[in-house]
Formats: sequence, C-alpha cells, structure tokens
Amino acid sequence: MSVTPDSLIANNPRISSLPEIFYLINEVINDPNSSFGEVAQVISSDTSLSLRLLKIVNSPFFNFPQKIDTITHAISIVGTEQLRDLALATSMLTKFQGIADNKVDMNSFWRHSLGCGIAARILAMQCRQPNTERYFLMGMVHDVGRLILFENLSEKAALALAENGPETPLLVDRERELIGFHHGEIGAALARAWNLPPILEKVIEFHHYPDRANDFLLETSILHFGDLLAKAMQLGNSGDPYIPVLNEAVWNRVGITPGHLPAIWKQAEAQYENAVAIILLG
Amino acid sequence: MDKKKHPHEDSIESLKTRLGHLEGKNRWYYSALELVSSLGEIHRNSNHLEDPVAIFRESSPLILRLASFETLALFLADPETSRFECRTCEPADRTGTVQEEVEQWIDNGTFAWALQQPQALWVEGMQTGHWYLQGLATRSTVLGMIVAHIPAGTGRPDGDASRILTIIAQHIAQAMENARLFRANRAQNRELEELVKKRTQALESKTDELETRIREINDFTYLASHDLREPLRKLTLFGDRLKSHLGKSIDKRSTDYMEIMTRSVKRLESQIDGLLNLSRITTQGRPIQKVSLNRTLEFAINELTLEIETTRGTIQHDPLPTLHADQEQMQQMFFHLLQNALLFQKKGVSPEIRVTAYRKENGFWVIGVHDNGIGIDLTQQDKIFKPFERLHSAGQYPGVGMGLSICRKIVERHGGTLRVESDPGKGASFFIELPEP
Amino acid sequence: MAKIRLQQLEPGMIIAEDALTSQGKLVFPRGTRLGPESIQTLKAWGIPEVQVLDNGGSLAEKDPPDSTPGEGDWEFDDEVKALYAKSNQDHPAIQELMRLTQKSRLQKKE
Repeated sequence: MSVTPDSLIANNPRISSLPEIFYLINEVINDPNSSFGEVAQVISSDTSLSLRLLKIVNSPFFNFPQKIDTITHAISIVGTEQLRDLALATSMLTKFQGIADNKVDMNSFWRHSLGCGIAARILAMQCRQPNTERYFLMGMVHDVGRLILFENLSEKAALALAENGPETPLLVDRERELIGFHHGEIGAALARAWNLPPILEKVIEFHHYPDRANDFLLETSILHFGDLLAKAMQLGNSGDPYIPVLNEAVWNRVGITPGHLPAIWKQAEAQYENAVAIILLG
Repeated sequence: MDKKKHPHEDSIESLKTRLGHLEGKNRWYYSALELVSSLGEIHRNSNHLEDPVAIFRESSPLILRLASFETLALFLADPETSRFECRTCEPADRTGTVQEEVEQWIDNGTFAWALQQPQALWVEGMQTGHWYLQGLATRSTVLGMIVAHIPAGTGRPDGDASRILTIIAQHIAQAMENARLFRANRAQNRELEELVKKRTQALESKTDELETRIREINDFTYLASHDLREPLRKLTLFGDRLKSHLGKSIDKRSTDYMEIMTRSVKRLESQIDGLLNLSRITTQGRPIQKVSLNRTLEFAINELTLEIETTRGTIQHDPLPTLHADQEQMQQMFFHLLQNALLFQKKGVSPEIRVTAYRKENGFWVIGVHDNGIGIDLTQQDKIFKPFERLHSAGQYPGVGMGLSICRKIVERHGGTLRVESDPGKGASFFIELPEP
Repeated sequence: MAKIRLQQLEPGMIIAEDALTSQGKLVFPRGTRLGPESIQTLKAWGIPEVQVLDNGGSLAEKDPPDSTPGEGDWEFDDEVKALYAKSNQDHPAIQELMRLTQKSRLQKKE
C-alpha cells in the first residue's frame, strides 16, 4: 500500500486525534443547553491550558486594557470559538512532543510557526476577518506536516532539506518530486482527521500555493503572506528560510500597501518575545 | 459525564429535545440567511442617503432583528477634530448615559481596543447588563463605533448572531464610506462644472468683445468710404468745371496734368468702391441658404462674357455641389477668381480655366480654380490676399487689387479657407475649402 | 522635542510629529496645539504617546539624522541577499521587506 498524507496520520496514533480536552470543549459548544459558563468550566478543568490562555490574553498579544482573570471573562471578550482556536494553537507543542524531535530543531521550528501565526493574525485584523485567532492557529499548524515527514519519511525529507539553497527550487516543490506530496497536504490530512472546519484544511494545504485555494483565496493569501513575513523577520526556521516570490494577486488580496509593512512588523515584534515566553517556554 | 445511565425512554426524550432544538436552530439559520441576503439594501439605500447617520438609522431595524438592544447609539469620528461624537441615540433620553459609559471606556482604553477589533466587544456588568461595542471600519478607514445595550436579565446574542451583527456593521461601514466617496466625487464634478461654466463665460464675453470690435471696424470702413467719396465727387465735378471754364485757353501741359489728376481720382474712387465692397461682405451679407454652386458659377461666367471673348478663354467645370452659402457672395467670389484667371494671362496664350470639386473626409468641399496663366511667385503668395496689394502695374494688368481680398473675406465668412498654389509661369490654382455639415 | 506619555500631556503642548494610530490613521497632524479634549481623543484612538515640542522649541527643528540609510542607498548583507534570492526583488513590498530585514539585523547587532 502506498503512502498517502492520510495514511501517515492514521498510522500515527499519537497525533491522529485531537487533544482530549477539545472533544469536551466542542461537545459543550455544540450542546444547545450549555452556556458560556460551562465552556469556561471545561477549559478551566485543564489548569495548564487555562493558565496559558490567561497569560496570553493578558499579554501584548491581546493588549487588552484591563486584567482578564477568569476564563469566563476571557470568553466574553475573545469569543467562544476564538478562545477554542487559541487554546488549540497553544496546545500544538505538547501534541507534537516527541515527533521528529531528534531530527528537527524544534525550538526553531516552533519559533517560526509562532511568528507566522502572529503575523497572519495581525494581517487578518487589518483585513477585518471575523475570527483572527483562527489565523494564529493556522500559523501554528501550517508546517507540522514537515514534522510528520521527518518522523516517517526522514531520509527523503532530509535529502530535500539538504539540497535546499538560495539557487534551488522551493523546498515544497522538491518534496513533491521526491515524495509525491508535500507538507501542506499532510497538514490538511491532519485537519481532516481532527475534524477541523474545511477552511483550516484548505488554507494549510495551499499555504504555499495561495492561488489554488479556490474557496479560501483571501484566507490562504493572508496565511501565505504571514509565512513570508515571519521569514523576512527571521523568526525561527521550519525548514525553508527562503522568501518565495510574492504573487501580485496575493498581495492585492491582502490589500495593504508597502507603507503598512513597518507598522505591521513593529506590531509583530512587540508580540513575539512575550508569546515565545508563554507558549514555547511557559 | 456518565453520572447515571439513562433509561431507554429518557434517551428518546432527550433525542426529541435535541431534535426540537436543532429544528429551532435551523429556522434561525434560515432567517439569518434571509437577513444576510437582504444586506444589499443598505448599499442600495446609501445611494440616496448620503448622511452616515441616515444610513445607520435605515439599517438599525436589521440590527434589532438579531439582538434585543434597548439602547442603540452611533458614534462617529469627526473628520476635522478626530473626536468621537454621539451622532444618534435611540431612545434619545439615554444619550447622557451612553456618553458617560463611552467616556469611561475611552479613559480605561476599552474603547480604543474595541475600535481595532474586527469583531464586537461585549462589556459585561452584573447589574448594568451587557454593553455592545462594535467598531465601524472598512479595510482602509475607521469611521466610528456602534454602542448598544441589553438590560440585565436578558440574554446576549450567541456567537452566530454576534457574527452576523459584525457583518451588518461591516456593510454599514462600507455604505458610509461609499456615500462619502460619492459625495466627494459629486463635489468634484460640481467644481468641474463650475470651472467649465466660468471658462465658457470668459470665452463668450471675449467673443462678444471681438464681435463688437469687428463691427466697429466695419462701421468705420463703411463710413470712411462714404465720407471719402463726397470730396472725390467734388474733385471730379470741379475738375470738369475748371476744364470747361478754361476752354481752349488751356495748354498741352495743363491738359496732361488734368488727365493725371482725373485718372488718380478715378482710381481712388474704385479703390474706395473695393473697400466698400470688402466691408459689405460682413456688414451686408445675405442670409445663408442652400445654393447651387453650378448655377452660381454660370452666372459669374455670364458676367464675364466680354472678357472671355476678348481673351478667347475657355472655362470647364466639374459638377459643383449645392451647399449652404450666401448666393450673391459666392457669385462675387467666382467672378473675381475667374476674372483674375482670364486677365493674368501670358502673352499670346489663350486662357484655359478648369474648376474642380471634391469632398474631403472631414466633410469640407474643396473647389479648385486652375489656370494656365503667369502664376504667382512663392514669395508673393501671401501678399495677393491683402487689400490694394498689386503685383503688377495697372497698365500691365488692370484692377485695383481688391478682388482676392474680397474672395478671402467671403470664404472666411463662410467658415472656410482660401489658399493658392502656383508655379510661376505655369499657372495658378486657387483652392476654396467650404464646410458642409 | 520629547516623547510624552498620555498621562503627562497637558493642554497647550504642541505636537511635533504626526500622531498616527497603529493602522496609520492620522489623528493630529504635527503642529497641532493640544486642547483640553485632545488627550481624550488620543486615548479613544489608542495612541499611548506622542512627540511634543520642548518649551521654546520651534517646529522647524528636526530629529537628529537617522543612522539608518535613506531610500535607495541600502547595502544588504550577503545573508539578506541569500534570504531573498528566490523572491521577486522588483516588487515594492519585497523591497520594503528587504529594507526592514536589513534594518532589524543592524539593530540586533547593536
């Protein structure tokens, strides 16, 4: 049987299902008779998660003017689904602990993911997207397919990575040549296995090819440009540090001008170190 | 989770409850969908509602369908001062309360934070109920904030309703921004119209001024020619009297002097006549009407029968068009052009004249009068259209030098041009270009 | 000229640099004299600090010349050049990002 993105996920029980707590959260969210309070109760039952969430909603990442000291308060300000996406984003590290960690510089990997999430979230706010935390989640998971590649197909993955230089084609294209699919497709398979909304699946799959994400062109363009921005800011490295070609259609969809970039850069910088401390080191 | 096992009946009961809930939710989604699809109304209305407050008032029923706000207010940033002003509040007697709350949120930073968020911010209070802060912004501009209140004890809208409220707010913001751009665009158009109007007025007054001056000049020429003829008539009259008074006692030299005097007076007279004719072209023009140039040319040829006979000249012509012109002046023009062509002839060569006609792409008719005469030197070609300019002495070729000036003036009065092309010694071609719509 | 936090602002102070929001919206242009309501307006827009003129300062006075290069005369490290080697460096956004990358590298060195 040949290897497919879906089979890679299915054969890896550690990651083939969502962290337990999210099944509980989703159950409460979908329960007609539940209230904010009950969602908050479920989240609060995971002490380390709620601590992490409270730290992050009180950090420059949110820049909220008052202290938020309960999950209930956090939900009321951030929104239920937004807080769930944020919670999932901050749980990725634990979920992928032990996956490929002797083959990939995990600190650098997560620093890039975090930088990309922060940049994409700021861009989403500029584009007035309804749920900006979802973009933070996208940033955190957009490259995890590469961890799975290194865990399961380490020789080919290492070969593609070793070849990668300023003159070679993009790493993602080399993955397709050597393996038959790329890390975006593995990430999409993961989103399917976790039953995440289609938007997450498609955006992760096409984050290197934002023009092919038919139903989610704007969303994918935002993540694609966030990825590019994190590379430009040299925040960590998840394998391919090289800045790709900026497609004019992508740039127009994101709809900012070069003059906006310094302010966005500054905003991302202001949020980054704090987020590293809370999510990576916390 | 599993504190107690549900008996079978209970689980059917709970399934029924769940089904009922899902059906209810489904109905809600349908009506939400309807509402979302009616959002286009906001933009259609904003075409005639230019005031952002009016756009907001028109859209507020949509907001109230999703949430039972008991107070609904609009704050807009003043374009001049950047200050947020409460522009409308329903009911009006809550304005003070809303303003106090907003001041407090501005003070503690909540307001600025909400302004940057794409989604709404709910500020909860135990006794005060739920306050709703939704920034109004397009991708490029922040316009203001919707501030609303739900009293304590009433549930606040769920996530889906909140999301649709945000979508409505985005449409309102876009409609306000479009209306602003529309206003700016119209103001610019008005400015442009104003400018065109001013320029047109300036041009019109300039034209009036020019017309007055032309009239003055014509009047002067006309009067001068009349006033000059009077003393000339006296000169001729008293010259004749002097002649008969002196009778036979007049000597040969005196007779010669008298001859020169009479000739000069005659020439002056015909020059004045020419001048008079020239000024009459504009002052005494006939109305413009449909004129057959074929017939007009025939009349001119008839007038020249004597000259044609004496010079043994021939005149051939293409079929000429019928166009809008002053019949008499056209005849006069042909008369002068043909007369010139007959008179300025090489010795011993009989004049051969051709009149041609064709229509240019721009609708102008070009009438050519071609001769085989002495031609005109290139350096002289400008001169010939000036009054009293003569290239040759009166003895060599007769005339007072007014003919071509008159022709040019006639053509110009018809909105056309008259020009000459010539190789000296090989004849000349005069081209009359006349517009015909 | 000094950067002043909102708490220290007083009516009568004159703004020395355009007061902009993080999204780049101009709230007060440079040269604006702060009135009693201006501080509240800055708060409403979320602008935490503004540049004001020192006593007796005039608007003509300018920042000390920036140590970072101006438009067009950027020298890029080899590493920055390599980072952007696969990108379209003629795109204005990429050009701006290259400058920002270079600038942040210079700042990190200091």
